[in-house]
Amino acid sequence: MFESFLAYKSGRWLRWAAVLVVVAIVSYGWQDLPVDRNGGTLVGYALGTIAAILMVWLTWLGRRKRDYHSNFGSVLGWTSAHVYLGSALVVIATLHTGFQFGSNVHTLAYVLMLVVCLSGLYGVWVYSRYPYKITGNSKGKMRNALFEDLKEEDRQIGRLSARLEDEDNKVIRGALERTEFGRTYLDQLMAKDRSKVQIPGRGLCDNKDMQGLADHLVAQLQASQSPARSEALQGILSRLGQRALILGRIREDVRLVAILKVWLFVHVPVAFAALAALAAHIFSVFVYW
Amino acid sequence: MRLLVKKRVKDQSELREETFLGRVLRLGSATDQDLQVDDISVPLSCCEFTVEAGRLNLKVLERARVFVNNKLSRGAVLKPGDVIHIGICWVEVVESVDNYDAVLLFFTDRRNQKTLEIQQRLKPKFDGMGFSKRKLAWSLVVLILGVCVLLPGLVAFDPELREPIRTSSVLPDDSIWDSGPLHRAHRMIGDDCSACHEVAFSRVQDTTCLNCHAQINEHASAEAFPEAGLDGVRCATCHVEHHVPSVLVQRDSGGCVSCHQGVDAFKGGVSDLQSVANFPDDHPEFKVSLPVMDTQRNRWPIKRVSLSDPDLKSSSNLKFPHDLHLDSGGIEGAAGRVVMNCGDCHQPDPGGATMAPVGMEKDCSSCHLLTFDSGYPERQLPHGAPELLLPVLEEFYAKQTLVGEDLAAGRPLFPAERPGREPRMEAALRAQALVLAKRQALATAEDIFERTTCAICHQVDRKEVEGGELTWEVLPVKLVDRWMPKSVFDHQPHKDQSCATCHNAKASAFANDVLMPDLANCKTCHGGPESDNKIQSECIDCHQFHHPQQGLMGADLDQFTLSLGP
Repeated sequence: MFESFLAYKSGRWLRWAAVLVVVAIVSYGWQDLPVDRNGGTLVGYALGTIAAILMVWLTWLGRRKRDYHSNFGSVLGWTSAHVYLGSALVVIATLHTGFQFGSNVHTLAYVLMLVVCLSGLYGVWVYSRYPYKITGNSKGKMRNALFEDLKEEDRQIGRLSARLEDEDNKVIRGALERTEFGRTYLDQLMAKDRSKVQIPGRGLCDNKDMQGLADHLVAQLQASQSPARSEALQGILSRLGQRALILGRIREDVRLVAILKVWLFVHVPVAFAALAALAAHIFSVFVYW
Repeated sequence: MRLLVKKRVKDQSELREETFLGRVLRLGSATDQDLQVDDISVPLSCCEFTVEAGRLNLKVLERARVFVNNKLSRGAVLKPGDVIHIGICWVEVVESVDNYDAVLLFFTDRRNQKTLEIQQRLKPKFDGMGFSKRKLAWSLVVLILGVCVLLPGLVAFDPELREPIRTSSVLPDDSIWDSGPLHRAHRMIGDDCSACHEVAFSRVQDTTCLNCHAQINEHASAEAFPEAGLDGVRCATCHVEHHVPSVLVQRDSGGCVSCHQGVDAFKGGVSDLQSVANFPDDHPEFKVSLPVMDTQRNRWPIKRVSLSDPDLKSSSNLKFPHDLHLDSGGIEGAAGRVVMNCGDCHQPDPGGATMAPVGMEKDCSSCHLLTFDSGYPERQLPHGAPELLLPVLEEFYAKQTLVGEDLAAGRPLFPAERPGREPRMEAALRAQALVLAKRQALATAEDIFERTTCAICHQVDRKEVEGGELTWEVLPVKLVDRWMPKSVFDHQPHKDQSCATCHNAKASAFANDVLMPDLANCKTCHGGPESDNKIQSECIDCHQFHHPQQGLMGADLDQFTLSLGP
């Protein structure tokens, strides 16, 4: 049976992370200090060391998952530990700060670490929901299969379109070619349809969900005098509905996959930024010890 | 079981062989599957291959659509030649070879992996944002290392670049390494980090602090009290800078108690220090520092006596009944009865913290006149110089003798003046006058030294010296300057309380009564740091860490002793 990384070994890393968090909180509270709690006490240094090691190890997941021949734990186990220990890091690093913040390199490292952890938690949430949405949207078909369907529709529309006059044929083929899936990532994330159609006398018109072309063809159908032309137009209109449905699914698929990945554009680069800030934090603390 | 799996890889053109050892070979789209199919239409866990009794079995899980020889199947016993079709992948059972229970050929449908021409034409940028995570990551790393390490590092290590970068309004300097602002007491140091952080990668040294704080005293000797763990404790251990909120002096009693609870056992118990666990329940009774006159009568070594000691008596060599002076009915003074209060004699010093010393001329002389002859009430003796009293009295009475009968009758005591001759008194008369004067002076002295004026307040010793002459010694007076020098007490915040709240003077009949308030008296108002219904008091509210009776910090440690002295 498939095992989710969240439930890996019945939550082995969840338990370890919980132990780590409890030990950290108890140590933090237990300290008997002549001064306010901070990162420079014995417990503070210990928490900081653990947090720093965790940050480096958490980032190492990117290396481990590419190391296909490694037997040093499964990627599934690593991912599970990555999620739970990453969550524990938020608590440990926060205790290390002693709740003292300012506009300096130390708080920068902490904030970047928080951004990484919170974006990671968003990723966990996305990974737990979106794969089901993706399969639900595409009805079990891969995106390539959806494109195969689209290709088939275009072939059929092209066949019917060939029966019409050149001018109509040109409008229809132009509309197929001007179908857009979102050139920008923002468009993809919002499933924005920027498709256009060039209609004689009206110029370049909006063709969202093939509606522009459909409206034009309906007008043509109403004005049609020839039964053969009417039949071809009706056939194309019917195919356009199907095509819009497929395009909608592809766009939704693109949107869902984009959401599934977009958080990584924060998570991964900021993780490296956080490591750099961590290095700056440690360096500066000991330069001016 | 032992299976040989042959996988077509790299566009199916290459065959890779893998040996599988295990009980179950699992196939699905999840990453933990033995055979992973990159097809979301395939369930995460799709089917399982097992070998039982030499036969290869296929078990289809859940509702996966698995075809065996083009027929939908829920499970089958497989034989060489059978072809299983799942989503985009195919598994063919081929003839078994030596040492293997079965051999499977695994490949995926090439057609479904190829990018369609229509995808190319529409060019949706599915798989990226137009820039890579890697580039973004490196850019951020370089930016952060440049801004947060390189530039501040130049300020820290390159004196030539220090000022240009610090004065630049754009470039970040080493202030971004500052974990918090300096305490207001240290603000005058400004942004010159190296003023305190003199050596990179080295903690701030005590010597740096002592450059300014040269007059600060030690708490105790780290060498004399190794148990206290003071060795290695730096100024910055307690006085932590760059914290938010900035608290330079730690008021918490926890640090004090961590050493002073059980401090009586230090040095094998030879120390005279007493254990303290907390103020309300486990604090020793206060001790007062009493000067005790030595046998030479010229030194006053200090003796520490607990307020609970039954032999608690001070020894000022004065006689002073507080009860008589504070009688609500008043006391007979020089100008009739006066009702006195504490403030008539005890006034705070100009700072308000302690009381100014009581003095005879200032506080007593308005009532205690130093007259000695009722016939001459305007004449008073000098105070504070008993050895001068007898000569003064002799002089006084000598004059009285001289102005006696003859002068009063208008007869000159000297012969009539003649040219060339000094006017002289007859020798016999002179001797008679002096005898008379001395006799009267001694009688008066005996009276004031032993019965009246001096003897009212002072302890006086009568002595007969050689030749039978009498002298008197007034014992030196020593008033206590500070009763409790090991605490810091400020009368100012307590001024709204009456004196009698702490000093029960009205019940004191003798000058050697110690009228200092005891621990219980303080505890009527003061509680421990956690107190709910009393003033929350920490150790540092009454005691100083840097002990004024210890040597200067950084000085030679040999001067410290086990006993902290008076």
